[in-house]
Amino acid sequence: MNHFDQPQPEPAELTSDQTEALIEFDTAEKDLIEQENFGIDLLIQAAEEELRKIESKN
Amino acid sequence: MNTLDTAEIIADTQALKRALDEYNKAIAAYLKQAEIQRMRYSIKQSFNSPSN
Amino acid sequence: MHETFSTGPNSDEEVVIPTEERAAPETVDETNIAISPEGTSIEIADSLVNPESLPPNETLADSAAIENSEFNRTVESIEIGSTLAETHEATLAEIQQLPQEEQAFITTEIEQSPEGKSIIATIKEKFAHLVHAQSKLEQKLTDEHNYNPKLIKMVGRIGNIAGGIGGTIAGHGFLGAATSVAGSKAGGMWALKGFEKVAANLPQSMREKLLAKASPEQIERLASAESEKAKALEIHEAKLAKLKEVMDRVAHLSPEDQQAFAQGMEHNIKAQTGAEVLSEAHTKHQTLFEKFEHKFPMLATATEYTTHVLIGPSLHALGIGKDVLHAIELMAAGGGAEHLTKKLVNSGKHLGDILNKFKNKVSNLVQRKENILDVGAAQAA
Repeated sequence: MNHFDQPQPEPAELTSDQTEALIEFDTAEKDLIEQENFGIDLLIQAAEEELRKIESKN
Repeated sequence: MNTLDTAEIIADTQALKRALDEYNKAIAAYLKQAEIQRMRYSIKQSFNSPSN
Repeated sequence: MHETFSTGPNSDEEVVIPTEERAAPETVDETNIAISPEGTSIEIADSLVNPESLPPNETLADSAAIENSEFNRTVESIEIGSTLAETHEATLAEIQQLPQEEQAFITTEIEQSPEGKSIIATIKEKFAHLVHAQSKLEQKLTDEHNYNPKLIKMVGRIGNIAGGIGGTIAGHGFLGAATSVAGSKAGGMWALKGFEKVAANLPQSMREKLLAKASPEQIERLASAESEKAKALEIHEAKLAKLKEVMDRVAHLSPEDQQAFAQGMEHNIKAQTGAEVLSEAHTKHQTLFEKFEHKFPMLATATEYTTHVLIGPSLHALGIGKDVLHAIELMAAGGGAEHLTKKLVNSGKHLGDILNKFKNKVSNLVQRKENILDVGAAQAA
């Protein structure tokens, strides 16, 4: 865990290959996070709808 | 064309030829599998409903 | 089962390859051309090319008797083989250009089938032989200047082929899963710290390609990719916080109202869709992390900067996600939404587990990398 608490070291030079791989990984993860965001959005909307129904009954 | 002065080079060249042939065969096998899977995929797609 | 191949466009020779010949390795990194986290496989790479396992060479006495014309035929045959290999590379490149989903399907099916694993194992072995034969000859030819121009050209051409996409399969054991590894252009597996020992056996042309530093354009693209991911994570954080807020309101309802809420959610189309979407994304995210080392071996032993960049945001999201999971678990306990909440809780928990494992794995890798550097420094002293 220490490694992640330490201040970020001066980034060493990445090779061309490493850089491309990082770009791929970041892009893949970004796509997934965006998909998750969309899913969470729907949950929020659904939950608010249901809450409104209940609150309007009371 | 230069005259060969080392039998070793000849032997090494033949080894390279064999290695290349074997490698090509191995890749060809992979590509054959890829072709099969490509066909499977397109068949799968044609049965799936387009809406996701 | 057997497969039959011809050896080239001008050859009528056919070779039968028994496809059950080799026991399929359990995981693709059990073959000794994969990079192990300890870095010891860098040492092993040399012994991988066990001379005893190489195709037998003629003895020097026999070679002496070989005519020049036969040598020329060999060189020509190599030329044909090179052309075939280049054609294969083009086909492999086509596969890499396919839409992501299709490519992922194809490569995953191959990589997971026993037959595919066997083929990949064979590729690794034959690739090692090829690199060995090529570099051996290249070293000798550079000593003999103006030796045989055609042969020199062929050897160089094979060097390029060995650095190609087929080399990626040999190195990584896969072509490119859900996201293709762009480093394949230079047989990317070798692109990590400490590969110098292995590089000694690689042709000069390959070494130069692999050592190439990132260009300013690449660095810019990376910065851009990181910034976009950071933005997505910001939004992620905000949405999770909002969801938690909504759930807190639910938690303050009466038990009867909570149950009514849960049942309402169970039948709510948006909730169902959201759960499906989220669950699917979690699964894909799990896979991305689970296969991290296999997919991106070059990153597995790269700099601390790299690992920090990868780990930080994921752990951050994990922390926030925990609160939401807790809220959802409360909802599940309230009853009436088992199906919906179970799905979310399971996938979310699983993702949490995977992220934890991933974090530990990378932490180990960073530690091992430091050990390697310590050993290297001690040896250099």
